[in-house]
Amino acid sequence: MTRGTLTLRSRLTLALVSVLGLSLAAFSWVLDSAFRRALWAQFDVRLAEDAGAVATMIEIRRDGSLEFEAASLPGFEAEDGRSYFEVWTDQGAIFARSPSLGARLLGRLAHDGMMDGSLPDGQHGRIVQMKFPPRREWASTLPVDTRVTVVVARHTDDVAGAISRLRLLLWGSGLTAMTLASLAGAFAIERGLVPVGRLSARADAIDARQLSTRLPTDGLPAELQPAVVKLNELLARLEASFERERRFGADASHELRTPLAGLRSTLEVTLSRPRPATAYREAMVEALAITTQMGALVESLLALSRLDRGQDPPAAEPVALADLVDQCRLACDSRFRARRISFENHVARDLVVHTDRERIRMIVLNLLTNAADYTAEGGAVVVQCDAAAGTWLEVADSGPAIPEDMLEKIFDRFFRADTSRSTGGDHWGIGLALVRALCQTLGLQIHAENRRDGWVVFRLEGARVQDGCARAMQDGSTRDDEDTATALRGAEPVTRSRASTGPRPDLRDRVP
Amino acid sequence: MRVLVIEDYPPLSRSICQGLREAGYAVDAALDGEDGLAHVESAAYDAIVLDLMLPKVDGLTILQHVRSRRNPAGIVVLTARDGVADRVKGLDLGADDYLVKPFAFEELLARVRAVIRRRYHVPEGILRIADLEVDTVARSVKRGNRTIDLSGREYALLEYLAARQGQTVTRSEIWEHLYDFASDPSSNVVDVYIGYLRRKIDRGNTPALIRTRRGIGYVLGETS
Repeated sequence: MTRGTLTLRSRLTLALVSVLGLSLAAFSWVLDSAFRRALWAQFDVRLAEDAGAVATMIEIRRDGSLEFEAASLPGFEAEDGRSYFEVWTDQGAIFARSPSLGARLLGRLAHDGMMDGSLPDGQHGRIVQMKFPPRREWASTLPVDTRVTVVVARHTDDVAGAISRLRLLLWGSGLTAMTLASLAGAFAIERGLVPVGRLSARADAIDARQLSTRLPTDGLPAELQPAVVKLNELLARLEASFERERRFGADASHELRTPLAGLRSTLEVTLSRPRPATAYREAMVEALAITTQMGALVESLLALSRLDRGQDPPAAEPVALADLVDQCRLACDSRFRARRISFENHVARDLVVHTDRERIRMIVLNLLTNAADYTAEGGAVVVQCDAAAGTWLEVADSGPAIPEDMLEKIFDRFFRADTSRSTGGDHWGIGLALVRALCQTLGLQIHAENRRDGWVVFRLEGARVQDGCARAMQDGSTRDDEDTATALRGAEPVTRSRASTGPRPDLRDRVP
Repeated sequence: MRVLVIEDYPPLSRSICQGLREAGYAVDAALDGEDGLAHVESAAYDAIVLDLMLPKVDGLTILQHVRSRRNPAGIVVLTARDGVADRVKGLDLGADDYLVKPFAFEELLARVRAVIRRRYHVPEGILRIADLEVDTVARSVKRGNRTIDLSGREYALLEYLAARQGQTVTRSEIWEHLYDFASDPSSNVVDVYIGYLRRKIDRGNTPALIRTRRGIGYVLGETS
């Protein structure tokens, strides 16, 4: 298992065991070495004391000869004793030796001091060699110049055994403590992670159909609360987004079903019996018109879907706004003419903005088509730019007014102002939603409002565009402003009893 | 039989109306809910083809309105929404049938026929009056073993009389169920068609099935 796939439980347990193990090992090592040193020091002290004790048994006589007064020394007596000594004279002769040596020799060391070495019985031991002045029993101010060399040796297996036992005890108890502590730690971790387990089980059960589920925060450890709150927020966003997608899909299929039904019904009824050629022609014209509408709807849906996915960043190219408005007007000329709606373009001719040409074209075209379809017959549409008021583009039509509570809703996808719609025919509310989505990608805002004079204004605003506007306005703005003002004053709102006929007859925007 | 089509998408409305007319129905079209309600109020329809998503007044409101007035018209709901909840709601509010767009026109025709049969309590597609048989599916008529050829209008008249067999049917009722608002028949057209029918059905046959209730109207078959 790689580190990346270790569970939190394993990681915590591993960390706990490692830290515990290292601490215990260090503690044991310190204790072990301290005890070992103390035991050896004690051993050496006893060895030196033994050497001193042997030295006190040697007496020098007045004649300078040495005498050994054997006294009982435990450990040195029996032949199988564990301690040995030899006393050597300056002349290099063995003067006295412990009974435990028997016939064996201990030997002198190369120099005085303590060292480890092999004992006469072949076993390992520790040897000390010291020089002492022999004891004298008469008073003299003269120093004793004679020295005896005392060599004392002893088996170390007692000490080594004690150290081994101590080690065993230390490491054994350490290991036991570590095992117990690890088990207890693992258990505690297990218990501590129970809420995480519960959370993950709840999260596991969440799929696209259960996005309304929220993870419980009650009884959760404080450390987990923020994460769970964030997760719940994420779930809420996901739910909203899924719901939007679901509704969009349902609405889209719904919007396509009606024209599809019209197409199928038209073709089936036409084919149900033999007819004159003109009847077939009429049916084909109808079918073509329906497929054109459906095609436009599908295009808009795809455009919206692409915008939703945030693909394709907007381009920034110079666009002559007035020309663009003219082109869009031409594209929906038949609609304007069919409903006898007059059109005026007051955008400054030299106004150039840097933006995405295709997107701004779709925005303007949708706004103009919308105006052409829903302005009362015989009305007027005026497009202008009013940089002074912070507006880039304004598409104003002579109404009728849109009910105030629907001014925002008309930008919703598939919004239908059913109760106020006249028998239009095209009924897919996607154009204005597309306009708003396009505006968002260009950093623009679009709003609709009813002016006091009864006109309806779709206003496009945006800081970037205002700059562009202001730049262009510096040259020809005065004239344009005046022109626009004149035009607006001159464009008499078509007097229709907007108040008396009630709300705008049809709010549904149309796919160009 | 007279049918009202309330559908706001003009191409669909046009084709449904054309298809129904060609199937022998008198058809009126309403392109929004308000217009639909006005139609419902002003004529006796045998069936209503009703779209649910309508401007001005939605289809469910119309459905409720029609049923609250105890209007016996059979209602076929057209909708683009095919969720179970939508169907249940429509049927709960008194729709007789439910058709999801897009549909086969033949199916719509069959459903309209079915709701009209139900409206006149005719369980089968064949109406029998003595030895006269009116097959409402094949739109054919037989008396004894003889097949009778009828024009569209004659058939429509006979079908209506047959659906109400044994009952006295007034001229204005016949008028209302055979002609839509677009037709402009002369005032004695009902009597003229009754004459045609009599010639084709009763001539040379006994008993005579079509009888006149003087000053009131006509009755087909034995009075119930």
